[in-house]
Formats: sequence, C-alpha cells, structure tokens
Amino acid sequence: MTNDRRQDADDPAKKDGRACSLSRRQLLWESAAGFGSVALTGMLGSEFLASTAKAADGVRANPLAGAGRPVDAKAVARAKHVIFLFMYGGPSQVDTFDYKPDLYRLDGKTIDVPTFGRQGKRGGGRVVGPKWRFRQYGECGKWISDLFPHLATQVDKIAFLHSMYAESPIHGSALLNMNCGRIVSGHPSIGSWVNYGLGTLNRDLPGYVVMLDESGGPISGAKNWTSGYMPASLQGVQVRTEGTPILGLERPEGLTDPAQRALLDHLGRENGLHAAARGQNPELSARIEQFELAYRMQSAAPEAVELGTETEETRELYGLNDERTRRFGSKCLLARRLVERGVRFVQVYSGGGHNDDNWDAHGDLVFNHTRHAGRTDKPIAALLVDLERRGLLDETLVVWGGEFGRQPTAEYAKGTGRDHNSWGFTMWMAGGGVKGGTSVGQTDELGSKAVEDRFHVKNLHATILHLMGLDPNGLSYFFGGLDQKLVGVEGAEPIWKVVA
Amino acid sequence: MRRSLLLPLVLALPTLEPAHAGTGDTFADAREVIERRCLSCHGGDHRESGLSFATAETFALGGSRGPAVRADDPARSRLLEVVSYRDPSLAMPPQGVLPEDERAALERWVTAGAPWPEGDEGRLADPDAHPLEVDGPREVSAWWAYDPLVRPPLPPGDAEHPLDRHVEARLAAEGLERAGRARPETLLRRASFKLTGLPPSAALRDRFLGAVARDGFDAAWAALLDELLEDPQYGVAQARRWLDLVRYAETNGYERDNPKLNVWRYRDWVVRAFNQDLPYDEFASLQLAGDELVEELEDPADRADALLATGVHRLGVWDDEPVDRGQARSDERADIVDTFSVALFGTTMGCARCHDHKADPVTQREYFELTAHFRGLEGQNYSSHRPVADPPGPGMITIRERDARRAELDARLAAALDALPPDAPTPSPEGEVLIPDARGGAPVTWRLARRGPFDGWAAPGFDDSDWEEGPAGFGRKGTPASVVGTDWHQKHILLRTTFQLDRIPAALRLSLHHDDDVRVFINGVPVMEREGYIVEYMTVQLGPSALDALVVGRNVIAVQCEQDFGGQYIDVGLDTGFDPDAEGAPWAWAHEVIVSGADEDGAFRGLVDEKKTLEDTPIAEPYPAQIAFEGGPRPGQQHVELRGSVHALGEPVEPALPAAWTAGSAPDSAPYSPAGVRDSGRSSGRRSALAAWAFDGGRHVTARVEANRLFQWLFGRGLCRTPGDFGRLGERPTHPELLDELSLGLVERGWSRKEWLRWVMSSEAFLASSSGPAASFAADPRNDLLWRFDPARLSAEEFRDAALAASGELNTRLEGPWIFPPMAAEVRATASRPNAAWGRSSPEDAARRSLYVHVKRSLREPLLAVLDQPDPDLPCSSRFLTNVPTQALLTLNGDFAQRRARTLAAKVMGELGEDAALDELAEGCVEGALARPAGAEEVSRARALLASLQRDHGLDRAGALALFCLGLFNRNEFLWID
Repeated sequence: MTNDRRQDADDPAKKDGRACSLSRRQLLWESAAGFGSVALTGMLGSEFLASTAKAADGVRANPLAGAGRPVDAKAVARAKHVIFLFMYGGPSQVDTFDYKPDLYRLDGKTIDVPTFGRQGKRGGGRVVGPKWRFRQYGECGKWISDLFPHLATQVDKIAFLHSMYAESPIHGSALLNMNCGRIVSGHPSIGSWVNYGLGTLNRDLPGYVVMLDESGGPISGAKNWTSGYMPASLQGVQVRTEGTPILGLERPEGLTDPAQRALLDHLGRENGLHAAARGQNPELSARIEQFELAYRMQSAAPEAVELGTETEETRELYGLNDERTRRFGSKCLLARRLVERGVRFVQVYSGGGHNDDNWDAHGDLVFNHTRHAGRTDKPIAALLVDLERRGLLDETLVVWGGEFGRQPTAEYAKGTGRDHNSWGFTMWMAGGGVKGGTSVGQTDELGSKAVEDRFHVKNLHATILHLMGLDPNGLSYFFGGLDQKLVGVEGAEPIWKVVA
Repeated sequence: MRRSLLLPLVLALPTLEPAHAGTGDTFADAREVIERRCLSCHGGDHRESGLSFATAETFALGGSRGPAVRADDPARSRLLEVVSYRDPSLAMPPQGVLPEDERAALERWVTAGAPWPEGDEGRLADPDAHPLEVDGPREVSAWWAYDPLVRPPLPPGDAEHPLDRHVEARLAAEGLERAGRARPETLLRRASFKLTGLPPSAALRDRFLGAVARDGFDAAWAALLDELLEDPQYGVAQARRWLDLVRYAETNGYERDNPKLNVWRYRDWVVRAFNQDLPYDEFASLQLAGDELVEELEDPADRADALLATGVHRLGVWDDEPVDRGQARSDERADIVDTFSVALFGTTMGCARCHDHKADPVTQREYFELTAHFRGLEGQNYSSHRPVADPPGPGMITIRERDARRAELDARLAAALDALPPDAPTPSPEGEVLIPDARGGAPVTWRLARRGPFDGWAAPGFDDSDWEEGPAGFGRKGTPASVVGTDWHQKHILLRTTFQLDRIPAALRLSLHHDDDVRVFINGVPVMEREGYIVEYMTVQLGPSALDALVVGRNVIAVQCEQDFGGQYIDVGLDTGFDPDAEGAPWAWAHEVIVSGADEDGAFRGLVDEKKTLEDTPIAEPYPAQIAFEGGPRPGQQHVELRGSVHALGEPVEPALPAAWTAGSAPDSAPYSPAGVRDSGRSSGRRSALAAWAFDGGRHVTARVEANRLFQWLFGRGLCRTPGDFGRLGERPTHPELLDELSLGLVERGWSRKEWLRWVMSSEAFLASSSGPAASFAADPRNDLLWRFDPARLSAEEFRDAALAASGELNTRLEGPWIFPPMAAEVRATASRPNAAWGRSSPEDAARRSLYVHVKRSLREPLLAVLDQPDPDLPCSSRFLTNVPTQALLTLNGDFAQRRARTLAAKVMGELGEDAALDELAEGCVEGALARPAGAEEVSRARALLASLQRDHGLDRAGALALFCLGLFNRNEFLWID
C-alpha cells in the first residue's frame, strides 16, 4: 500500500461512505425515492437511471438530484468495461498458473494437509501432482502450465492473483460469493453494481450481458446475474451467439419488419393521443419511447452479434474455424464487439450444468481440464490480442477465474480428481488499469492455502470497482436500513499491487 | 509523568522489553494507528462492542468482551489477537489486515503495557472522528411512528369524510385546488384493479353504470364495493401484496433450489384470510405464533389454518449445505426477525444486528432481545415438516380418487412409451452398484437408530455420527428370505448411509426387502414408500423425484422401517441399472426421455408433472407441511452476537422489546409480559407473547404500519412513503394526523380491512381524477398533498391476468399446487439442469392467475420479472416501477402476448362472424381489451391499419386482427389506471 492511498482513508469526504454512516443527502429510499442512495458518475448514467426506474409509489422527483458522488476523487476511471471470463466449477490452480515444483515429486504420497471441500474437512490425503509441465514465458518469466500455450504468450499483459480466498467451498454459495459478494442469497451481482454506478453507454443494448455455456447455466442460474433488491432493469441480460440473441428480440413468425413498423406507428399514435390527454403523467411518453428503443434494439442487437462481418484473420484468431474452440471463441469475439458498442459488463461462462460439463474436476482431472482449457485457451489469448490491437485493452478490464480452486490432494482413493478449495486459488486480471506481467500473493508450497498477501473475493471486487473509477467503499445502495455495498458494509481495499 | 493503565500489575511483572526499542515512545506510533484505524468505530459516540479509544479512561474500561489489553500477559491481549487476523470472526479492523508496520506499532505499545500519557500528548486528534449526523438516536425521544396513538383534532371544513377534511385543510393552507371527481367508468376500473387485480367484466360495467343512472352514484358505488369485496378474487389480489412483504417463494435457493413441501398451502391460507376478512391482528398473530395459539382453538379448520399461517417462518432462503452451520442458523433467524420487523413494526432492524442502530433508537442488545423470541425455531431445517390435518374441503381428493388417477396416468404413460420410436433413449440396463444389498456377502455398514422418525433425520446434513453402526440387513433371523447382519427387534428403525456419484446416472434402482412399512429418502427427498411386507427381495425403479434429488459427490440415502407384527426385516441396495419390468420402471424411463431431450412436444414432461401434481394434491388426511414449531418449552440461550457473528458471543439476553416501541403504549393496554419459562409444552410461548403485545401495547405502531400500507395499496403510495421504514431514515408522513386518524379507524373497525377499505374508498380523495388544475401540478408534482389520485401502472401480475381476462382465457380457480406457464427454451437454458428446470401445466392451469405461477428462486418467470415482480429473497414493501425496452420486447414479441392477441382476435371473429366489417371487428377488439366502446375516429384509424396490414403486408384477416389486438395490449391505456 502506498502512502497516498493510505491518506485516502483519512479523507473526510470518504468517510461518508463508511459502514452505515448517515449522510442525509445520500439517503434516498428504495421505496420512496425509488432509487436508493445513488452512485452516479456519468451524464448518461443519470439520464438512464432517471428515465428508467422509480418506485411504484409515485415519487416524481429525480431521485438522483443532490446525490453524493461516491467516486474515488483520486482515482481516474481506467476501465470503462469489464469482461469477466467465469471458469465455472473451479479450475485447479496448481495445474494452471500457480507453479508448485515441489508438488510433482509428492505425487501419490499421503501427506497431512488440512483441506475443506464438498467432502467436508479433512486432515490430509494422497497428493495428486500437477498433471502438466510448466514453462516460463514473457519478459516477466511467468511459469504457465502446458494447458495454456496460447494464453502463455500474453502473460506480460496479465496480473496474477495467486492468493485468492473465498467464503465457501460449495458451488451454490461460492458462486453467489464471487458474483454478488456474499454467500447469502438476495444481493445484486457485480454487473448490476457497475451499471448502477456508471449507467449505460449505449441505450440500444443492455448494459450487462451474460453469455452461458451450451450445456446450461451455472448452479443457481439467474441468481448469478440478479439485480437483487435493485430494479430489474439492472439485472444481467442473457445474450446468445446462436439463435435469437436476446429473449423477445425476434419478431414472431410471419411478421415482417414493415408490418411491425406499421403496428408501432399505429400504437404510437394511439398512445400519443392517450398521453396528450394526460399531460400530468410523464411516464406515458417515457413508455412510448421504450417501444422505439425496443424496435431499434431489434436491429442493433443482431448487428452486434453478427460475427460474419469479422475478417477471416480475426475468426481464425479466436478459433472460430476449430470445432473445439468455436463456441467459446464466438463468445469472446462477441464480448469484444459488445464492449466496442458500449456494453459495460460482459460475463462469459466457460462451462455450465454439472459434472464434467464445467471445470468441476472431481473424477478425472486430466480429462476435465484438457477439455475446458482446450476450449478456452486460444479464444482468451485472442481476446487479449484483439482488444490490444484495437486500442480497447486500456479501457477494458478482463477478469479470469472460477468460484474457487481445487485441492492439492485427491478426492477419492483412486484417480486424479480434486475436491473444491476456497482457502487458496488463482485468478487473473488484464487490461484497463492493471499492471501486466505481475504476480501477487502466494499459496503455501502445496498450493493448498493462501498464505501471503491474502485477498478475499471482496478485494477483487474492490479492485474492479476502483479501476472503473468507483470508490468501492463509497458505492452504496440504501436497502433494509443499511447502506449496502458490494464489498459489504465493512468495506475492502483494492489490490493496489496490481493497479498500474 | 507517564502512567500506565495497568500500573499495579505491570509493576508486578518482569520488565517488558519493547519488541523494537525504536523511539521508545510506543504510544506515539500506536496513536497514529488508533486515530486512523480504530476511532471511527471505537471513539466518540461510537462504541462498537462497548469499546472506546477516545481517552485513557474509556479505553481502560474495555469493551463488552473484557479489557482490550491483558494486564497479566499483554502479549496475549485481545487487541493483538484481533489485529492478527487469525480468527476471521474477530478480525479487526474489518476493512482488512493492517500493514505490518502498523500492526507492529500496536504490538510494541501493548507489550509495553499500553502506556497512555497524560495531557495533550495523550489526547487523540479527534476523539469524535465520526460523529453521528442524526440527533439523539439513543434516547427514546418523540418520533411520530412511536408516539402514542390518539385521535387528532378534525380540521374544520365542509367535507363529510374525515380523510377529506385532513386533505382539504392542507390544500387550503397551501392554496392548491384539488382535482374533480373522476368519471364512473374510470372509477369502476380503478376499484376493480385495486380490489381484485382484474379489469371489470362487461357485465359488471353494465350493472354498475345502470345502477349509477338509476340509483345515483353513491348507492351504486356502495353496491359496487360490496360486490368487489365479496369477490374471491379480492383475496388473490391482496395476497400478492402481502406475499411481497414476507418474501414468499416456493423453493429454498442455492444449488438444489428444492421446492418447499406444500408451501403453497401458506399462500392459499393468505388468500382465504383476506377473503374471510380475518382481522389484521389475528392475521398477523397467527403468522407469528399460530403453532402456539392453536391450543386455544376448537374448530379443525381453524386449527389447520393457525398452523398453516406459520408457514411464513419457512419462506426464507435455506442453504442446505452451509459452509458454517451455526452462522447459517443465525442468518436464518436474522432473516425472520428482519422480515417481521419490517412487516409488522415498520422498522428496519438489519443495521442493529452488527452494532447499535445509528439512526433509530434500537440497540444491538435490543435486536437480540427481539431475536430471542424466535430462538425456539432453531429445530427447523429445510426439510423438516409437521402434519396438518385439513377438514376435507375443496381441492382435495380421496385416496380412492387418487388411486384411480394413478392408474389412469400409468395407462397413459404406457401408451406414450409404446408410441416411442424404436431408437428412443432408454436407460442402460447395466448399472454400477452403489450400495450392495446383504445377499452378496459384502454388506455395507449403515448408521442406525432404533426409533421413529423425527424432524430432519433424513436430511443430508443431519449429523448421525453418534448413531450406532451395523452391517445390512436388519431384522430378526427367520424372517423369510432375510440375510440378517444386525439384529433389530424393536418397533422402529432409521438407517442412513452415503454413496458417491461422479456423475448423475440415467437410472436408479432399489433392491428391497421390507417387513413391514418402509420409506426411502435420498438427500432428504422422499423417493419411495411401500406398506406391508414382502417375502423376498424385489426391484423398484426410482422415478424422477429420486433422480432429481441426486447430486454429484456425496449422497445420503435414508431408510425408515416400522414393524407391525410377525417377522421383521429391512434391507436396501442401490444401483444405477434399469429393469423395464421393475415396479416404477415406466416413470424412470419417462425421466430419461425428458432429460435426454427426446421429449420434443413435452408430452412426457406433461405426464410427469401431472403425476407430481396428483401426488401433491391433498388427500383428506394429515399431510406434511412446512410450518413453525419449537422443540420444547426452553429454547437455547440467545446471546448478543458481536458483529452478527455466532462465533463472537456477547452477553446472554432474554426476550424483550425495544424501548422505543413500548414507550408510546396506550395507558389501557396490558404491559408486555415476556413469556416466563414454561415447564412443559411444545413451545416457549415467546412468539405468542410478542403477538399479544403487538396488537395491544404495540398497536400505536402496528396499526400505523398496516393503515399506511392499506393506503399505499389503494393510492399507490403510503402517507409515509417508506412503508417498510418508519424510522429516522425513512420519510415523514405527508399527513401525519391523517395517518393517525386512519390507524385509529382500523383499530376501531376491529382491524377489519374490508371495512376500512369500504370507508376509505368512499372518500373524495379516492374518487378524484388523475388530472387536475395545472397550477396544482406545477406546485406539487409529487402529489404530496393528495390534490389528485395518482395514475397507477398495472403490476406484472395484473398485466398478465388482465391480458388473460381480455382474451377470455383466464381461469379464476383458487387454491392448489403451483402452476407452470410455458417458458421459452432459452430461459430454461439458464438453469444448470435445463430439461428438468421447469414443469408444464395443462393449458387450463397455465391460464390461472399469476399468483399461482411457481416462484422458483433460481428461475424467474421472465414476463413477471421484467415487469418488476420483486426478487423473492428479501422483503419488499414497495415495488419498483421500471420502464425499459426489454419490457416492450416481451409484450410485443413474447409468446404470451402473441397468444393472447390471437385468441382475442379469434374470439371476436367467432362472435361477430368472419365476414364482419373491419369496423365491427375493431370495435369488438377494443371493447374486449379495454372494456370500453371504441371512438369513431379510433375505429377509422383501426380500419386503416387493418386494411394496410392486409393490402401492403400480406397478412390475412385473422392475422391483421391479431396484430391489432397485440397493439391493444401494448396501449398505455391497457397498462395504466387513471
């Protein structure tokens, strides 16, 4: 932590944002003013929020007027967008990015090491040595496993967080922890927070997009992109690379664009006459506008998801010509196209459903991780390359990781499968404001537990918000008598060591 | 001179060497850290855990957990322990571990005996670093919500209705004019939606307008209110509002997101209670403590209702495999306390769980004293239930009917299976043995208890480590075909063991021998039961509910057997094979067809769901229900939980009420009497004591909260615009005296909500138009002064129900298990088991009111969700109203809207004839959708559209008319109430 950062904590302006502190001007009601105490940094944000949400009980005043600006005055927004590559199921750190040379020779040996996974707490077990060779890459000389030959060439863009820990080693609660900050259900996800804080840059597209695996959603489904107690307009919208991109976007069969246009013109006229007689209800004309926005979305969204306009070189780069990488590659490419068009937060899931359809390698680690790394390595590397050459990497924060990692020991008497591990795991970040070619934190020599510079999930969230120009300890939303925060009412510091 | 806080003891110790000799002034370094890191929560008015660093004296007092510095052994002081971050539940500061140099500075100071200089040197820079911005939160000062409830003076004026007197007096004082009375048609639609959530039918409209012409408005209006209040749909509409508040959902959330057994009976009870106009005090008391109050009831229907009302305690999110069981229990209790605090007392308590409330006069201790009322509920877990015996009634079937329907479904399934193509998926006959039965000579060891079933015993998380162990099978030698490994000769036995799965199998097969009645559970879900005995092993193919209950990894199978007479034996084996001739095989096969995606038209899904609905349909005998119960008269000891953590317990507390609530009790009310320790009985009586006080000594608060909420339901906003928070963080009422008048009005009407609604809906304020003088709008656009009736947007449920009503499809049947309207495949694909995520109801059921749509925490119905139905995890006292294009996409392009539009068009064409003139058809559609005659110009515009759609866009007549109807459903006129 640097000195100037520490002084931030004493800045009286920041104290307003502390746990439960009351600044009357920040207190706008989830019910009365419609829109909690409010974060707001952009003009578009204010327009968007004011025009799209208020409470059902009829408060007319702009809930954003006079709201505090819980923006870190000393922080400049480094990133405008986030692409969160969610490795659902929990990749094994010691087989991917957390190089543990001593672990190889312990393979098959039974050792004492406390672990906590879905099998409960254990005191030790049979070591499963790392199943891939590690090599050094880049100017930083980072050790990367052979699972990621493409991504390895990009290590100088990446900051590795080797000492992550989470509150639960069970999928359901751990997913909520990683996406919504808490293991208790009902709280908004990080994409909702970012859109709440910053507003949208393109009203023709949703500000928060989620792309799922073909095998299904993650456990708890929509809870992972919920807006919780915030308005539904802040929840993640599922976008598909195949079929109809967004629910309801496709005109019903047999209805042409001109016929729909004719209907909308008629509807606009009727609604206009209705509204004209009710000048005292501004919501009516706002809704008339939403029909036009929806109409525009019908062309804007398909344009955004149309990957056919990309060059052959780009398609090859993302692995669209290889059946193994085509699907995840399409999503990475679409993620780039969406941030180009102003989408704030894109989450892409690698893996879905259950078992080996995701990174949850309980049985055969080699089979599982070969499959999922094989599907994602090239596309993710391509995303970093492509964002950089288009000048987007500086303003786009890429986050990689799962809801937890895996244990150094075997789950069963036989085989290479590893159980969940929330005591230590690796995530990485790249782009928007992140110091590339760095690694922070350490697990113990077995990779079982974070021991040095430990970072809670909250610290990761604080880092993301900070890089977006938001004060993680100030961005709050009033609900249930509390200034709720993504990082919890007690707050959390960003991981300064990876902030460029 | 310097003095040490610990002087006498320090002197007795060997001299302590500072860890770093450094400056020698250990305080100066430590003080910087204290000022920066500690004072904001432990200084000035803030004394988290009672500890304050403000001065040497306050610090010496220590906190509620004792002294911060240990005199006898400073190195082991609590202060150093908490900053070490070794124990996460005690770690300080909460923002994160201190940098090493700061931690070292504190350590040097503490190990030096925590010297604190006198005078300026020892005075901290800003001991009040974090002053409160709200005055006097600790003292129980006058605050409108907690003041005694006394009748306010009636303002002078001409208006008859006291509500209007108050409103008009304020308007006159501000010089504003109010809007005139709305037209009868407008008022009819307004009243119909407010009371029943549905648009008025054409028949009702004719009746009402006829009565207005014949008897005058006042008489017609009174008759209309009578009719609407007696309509059973009244209960459906009011229940929805209440269910928002108590975060009603039908699943538990988290990985399995299992359904809550029979939870819909709570929903049905709420509907019934509204329709019967159960007085609000009883309505709320039964929910708080129906299980305790049931002892006073005679009528079997009342007794069942009292128990079902407590289902409210089981609605919350339940993590069935919590990472920290004790903390999860505390979180569940907090969820219940927070919900009741908001719903009954209009107080947001969440804050006080971790520290004294910073704005409202509620201390952390009081929070846990309130929590102590609910402490006895700790025996509940996500799968526990109690029997409730309904008197036979509607929606129930007899056992004979059930058996007949079972046979019929079996026959239909057999036919469907016969019709499958030969290459249709079947579960593989080969399977892996998960649990061998005793015949193979290698029996598994089970945990067993020789007793009858009790709550939660079959749950996966149940701790059976103190049960005895024994090899299978269990029984008495000599029972036919038995292989006894463990002697069992008592009446009851419970068995548990685990098996591992690395993937979810396609089939699950039991080998079974039982004598007598047996029930089998997998991961707590009942999957099979058989009565009587058999004389040799048999095979049972388990059905969809068993397969859905499986998880990858550790699974728990639990078996309960009860001996009647004669021989006795129980043994169960399990494998993943499939035997087409086994009992239950067709349903297992159906599951495979569904899961493999081969069920293209959903026929199998429909059958499985019909079967499930049948099995869930109540029979006229006791059924299990998730209701509240306590384990006995003495709940566990409740403590203050420091920072909300059960791992940092503070002082023990007993049930009590926040002083703020009791200060304004009416003099004639009985004082709160905490239930003394009962010596016997099934319950502590604490919740019924709370209920008794709430509507007597606490009625000044509870009546205000409910009257305000009723006002909110009618007018779109409460007189206090923050109906869930009457505290200092909320807004003050716009008309405090009127609120008191309406609150007294509720109490004086015997807490009858129907009477109250009849009264308030007869005021000019309710009858006012939504449009009024421009000057009033300019001066008071928020309508704080109630110069008009605020226009209201339909809720998500009202929109869906109104569309179904307009198309003539609405099924107004009440009660029963939840329904599954069709859900788009792309929405189901967001679930981790896309093919098993959502059911399928018959078209008739799918057209029931939205209240009956399944509320699944991880998979929300998209149309309802996008129109602002709240997330059901937390109480919602006021919905959002958003206006976004994704709503327009669904109401224009979504399957639901399209179907309603086509149906309405077809209905109108059917009624008027296919050859009817376009004008006539358009008029018919406008009438159907908007319940009013079409205007002449409107008809001509419609004709132009219909003609153009046919001429220029190639639509046929029916298609053009359907599109026109779609437009009608998207009119603002359809979505808004004037």
